[in-house]
Amino acid sequence: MSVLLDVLGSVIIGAMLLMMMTTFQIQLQESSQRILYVATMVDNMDMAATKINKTFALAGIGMPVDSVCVIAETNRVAFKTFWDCNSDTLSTTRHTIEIKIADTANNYGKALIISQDGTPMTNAGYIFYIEAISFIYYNKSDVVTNSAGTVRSADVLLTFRRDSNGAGNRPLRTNIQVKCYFMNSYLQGA
Amino acid sequence: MNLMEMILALLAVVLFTTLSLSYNQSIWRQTDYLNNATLTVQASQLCHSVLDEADAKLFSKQLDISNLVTTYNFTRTKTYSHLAQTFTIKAVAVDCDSLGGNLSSPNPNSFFKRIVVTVSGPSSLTRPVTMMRLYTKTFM
Repeated sequence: MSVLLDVLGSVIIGAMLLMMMTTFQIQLQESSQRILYVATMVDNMDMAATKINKTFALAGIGMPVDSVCVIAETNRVAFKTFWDCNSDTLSTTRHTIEIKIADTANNYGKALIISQDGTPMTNAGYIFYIEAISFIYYNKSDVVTNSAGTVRSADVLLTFRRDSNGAGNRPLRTNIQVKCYFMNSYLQGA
Repeated sequence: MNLMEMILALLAVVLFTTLSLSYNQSIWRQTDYLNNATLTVQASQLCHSVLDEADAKLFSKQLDISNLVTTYNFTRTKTYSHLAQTFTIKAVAVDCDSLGGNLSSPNPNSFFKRIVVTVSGPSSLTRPVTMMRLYTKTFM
């Protein structure tokens, strides 16, 4: 009886040890994935926010304030400017800049597309790992508006997503909200 | 099971528990890093938005630079639906010298104003994020 109890106790302790080690390995793998995610995603979030803010800030150069924004939808925005965003120089021709996300995802998730005259820009054409984008537009008095002609600023909500490697694990998501201003419209008195 | 075996079993349990606590603590710490990193990016954008708002209002003359100090001294809160956390925004505007330093005596006619925005609040944001912008009166 005593030997049986000893064997049973050893089996229980051994099983506990095995379970614990397995759990540790899984947790270690998950936390290393999270660290990797944070290291790359925070940089990606910051870059996306900077690019969007800069693109908004250069909108409307040489345009009357009520003709700057031409499309103000909840998931895409388009505006006109005499700034060439590809070469970062003042242009003699008017350009249309559009910000939206791609309809379909690839291995890097969906892409945030910033395009000039229908062609994605070479320096900021694609920013990946985007799941969703939404815009809330404001007029000169900071009141929500849906009329493109009255838009002077916008809240841009970006949701980033990356799938976990482990089967059954939840995808990793982070969000950032950026307030962007049509500074050139404000320079003209808004 | 004799006494020695019982002590060994007890030591094994203590060892497993210590290891488990140690692992869990490091995982919690890493989750905190994740939350802190995300909130720091959001908080810095919040600082930018307050300073950009001041820029926009000054550009459009909705706000005169002489009123900057009275307008941008406030403490308010901001809640984002996607974070379900509340940020506290504290803006402090003062008259200053050309380098942003404090004046020895207050001078409301100073050509230079400084706004310091500090965002704090959520417990996961371990340190408040602070940004400063110096404004110069150029149109006399």
